[in-house]
Amino acid sequence: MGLLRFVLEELRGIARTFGLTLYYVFRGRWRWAPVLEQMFQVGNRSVFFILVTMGFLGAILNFQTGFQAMRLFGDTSLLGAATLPLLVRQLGPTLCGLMVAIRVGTGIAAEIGSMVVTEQVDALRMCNAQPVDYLIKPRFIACTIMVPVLWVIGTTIAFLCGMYVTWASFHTIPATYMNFDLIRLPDVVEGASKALVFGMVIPVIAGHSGFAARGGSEGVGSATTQAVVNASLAVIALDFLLGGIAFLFKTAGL
Amino acid sequence: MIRCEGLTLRYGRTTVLDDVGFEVPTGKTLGLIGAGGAGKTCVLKLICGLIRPQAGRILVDDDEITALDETALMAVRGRIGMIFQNYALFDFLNVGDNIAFPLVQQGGVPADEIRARVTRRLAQVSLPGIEARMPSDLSGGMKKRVCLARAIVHDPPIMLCDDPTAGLDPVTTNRIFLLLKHLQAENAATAIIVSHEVGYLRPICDEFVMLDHGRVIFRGTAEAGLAHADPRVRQFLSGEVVD
Amino acid sequence: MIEFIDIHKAFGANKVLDGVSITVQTGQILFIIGKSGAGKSVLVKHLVGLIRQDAGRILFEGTDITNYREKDFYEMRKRCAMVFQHSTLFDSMTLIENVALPIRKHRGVSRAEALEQAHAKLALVHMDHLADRAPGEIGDGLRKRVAIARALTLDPEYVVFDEPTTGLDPVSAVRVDRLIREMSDRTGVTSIVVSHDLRSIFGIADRIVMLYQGKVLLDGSPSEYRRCENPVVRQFVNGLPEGPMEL
Repeated sequence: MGLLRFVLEELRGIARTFGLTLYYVFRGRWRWAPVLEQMFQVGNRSVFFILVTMGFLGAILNFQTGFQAMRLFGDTSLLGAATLPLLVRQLGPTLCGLMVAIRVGTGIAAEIGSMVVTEQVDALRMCNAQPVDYLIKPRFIACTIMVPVLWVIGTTIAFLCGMYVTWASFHTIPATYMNFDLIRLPDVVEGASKALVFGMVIPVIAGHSGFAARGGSEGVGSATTQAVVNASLAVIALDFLLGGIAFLFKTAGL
Repeated sequence: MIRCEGLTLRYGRTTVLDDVGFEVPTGKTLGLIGAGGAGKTCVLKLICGLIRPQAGRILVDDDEITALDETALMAVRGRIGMIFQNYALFDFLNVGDNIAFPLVQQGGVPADEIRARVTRRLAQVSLPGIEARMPSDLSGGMKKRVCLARAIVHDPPIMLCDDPTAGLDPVTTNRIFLLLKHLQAENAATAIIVSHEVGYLRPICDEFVMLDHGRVIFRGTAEAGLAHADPRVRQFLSGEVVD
Repeated sequence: MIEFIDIHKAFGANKVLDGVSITVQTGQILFIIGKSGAGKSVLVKHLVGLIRQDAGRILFEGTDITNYREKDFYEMRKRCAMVFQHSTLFDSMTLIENVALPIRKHRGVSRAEALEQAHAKLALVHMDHLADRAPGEIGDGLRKRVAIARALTLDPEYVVFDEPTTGLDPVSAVRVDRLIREMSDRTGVTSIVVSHDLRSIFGIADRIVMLYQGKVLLDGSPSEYRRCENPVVRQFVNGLPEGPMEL
């Protein structure tokens, strides 16, 4: 009962922050400098992390699938064609989303949380700068742009690492692996929209946890933990939800 | 004029403020005193509308803070200069931008006018030419003075100071209080100062309010306090403890 | 007896200690004073190995601890306890459990035994009647007392207090001062107090060392400070806003 109430409270708070963020995106003053600064931060903080994770993911995926394919069919020529849609619409956006939730979400929560406990957020309000407008909006825009970019980079790297593994383990030449026959536009749209939605949701959830920080440094610590838990759960849940919607579209023949 | 009536503030089951009421006439300085956790900081934040009470009214001049929404509060906050207990300098901005921030947000002030005002305020707090330094490079006393400069850069008619000398040595403490008095006199500002340094407060405050566990237990001049029937008030104002 | 001999310490280009020599006599209450940022806390942190000097020597009861390694300091930290400015108690435990924690950890005694010893320490700071309260339920002044009790749990020979009255209201501050005096008289523990609270300095100090510009400006008793003609000392002990002191 208590847990349910807590979850509902969190959801309501996140929804309110999300609404306010959208309001300021369309109504507030636009300053490009902080947005560019945040884009650099998001990209810089996560690109290496994502390259490594996605590279290994592509390698493991192709090796394991290829291994099974060898046992069942004795053929791995369609390996690239078969794993690409999976990477583009499912593993790419989800893994990128989780990595950004961990790497960038914690940063946002810690930064905003420490501003709350040192009264900087109160000082912003006293100067008539709305904290959501001033702190979350630039991070929101930056992540909305950067997560799709990271999705493209991550998926490409995963695909390329997969290519190397199939060539090294199963002697499938790159030209055969580079087969784009099975990927369709809806797969790309699904992947891109997932990346976009994750990019929008992560900074809002992390910022909301940051604003909820109370007390001293331990408050910032628990806000950071809360942020990474909430943002990761949101990525997984939204992945499921958006996947379901995409499936409905497909079965409806769109 | 600042007037509080019947302020009650609760967090969950803890009552932070219980029926707190007092008035500060325009141009006067009030010393708000009391043990740690008595609710002094909350009173200041209630006056700015940063937190909302469960019951009671706050009047700042003719505006009833408790009835205003966030947008309407903006106009009131523009008239208030607040010094925060934890400095609250924006750590992502340098000293000059920190002090200029209220003016930039307010809008309509030309850039060279802003620069001139920042320079003047920094000189006033005896820290000339440190605009380009970051808050993290400054000592506690310097941060407090920058904080003071930021709080008064827009010439606010109301000043709220939350423990402006916490953790500072006696020489710096004395300087900050003199500066506060000077700036308050310059704008004929209405001021509330929260502090434990009763010795320094006595010459600059017109009246005192003492809080104890969220209740007002004394309201009046320092002389009245020293002759008060309640030993807690006498001890606090004199600093002499008789067990 | 602790001897600091010609201690130098710089952080980058900022010379904080520039040849400081102090001898701490056993059984005294020694105050180290100076303006904010004068290196008072830096100096005392050398004692327990939290900061290492650039040059100079430290003798602890005649033993040279200058080149101690981190592990060697474990024993030192039991003999020389510190009460930090923000000595935080664990919110999730009662006061008595907070005090019992170091006893359990270092002495390896049973829970009941540890609680009994903790009770004795709380009684020493006149807090045993509140033993089962949570830290959040009591005021700052009382929390500071519990922090002092916790520092005393392992019966240290020296206790270092870092700004014990900063942030406390005047009444609580006087009570903490008195407690430090009382502890010193009753247990014979040597106290080193870092402070710039004039009331404490002239209330309870046996000896005062003032640091200024990285050096010892004056080392003497409170009455010597009152008589001292040095303009910087005069400015500090009277809290005058105008004077030669560099800010």
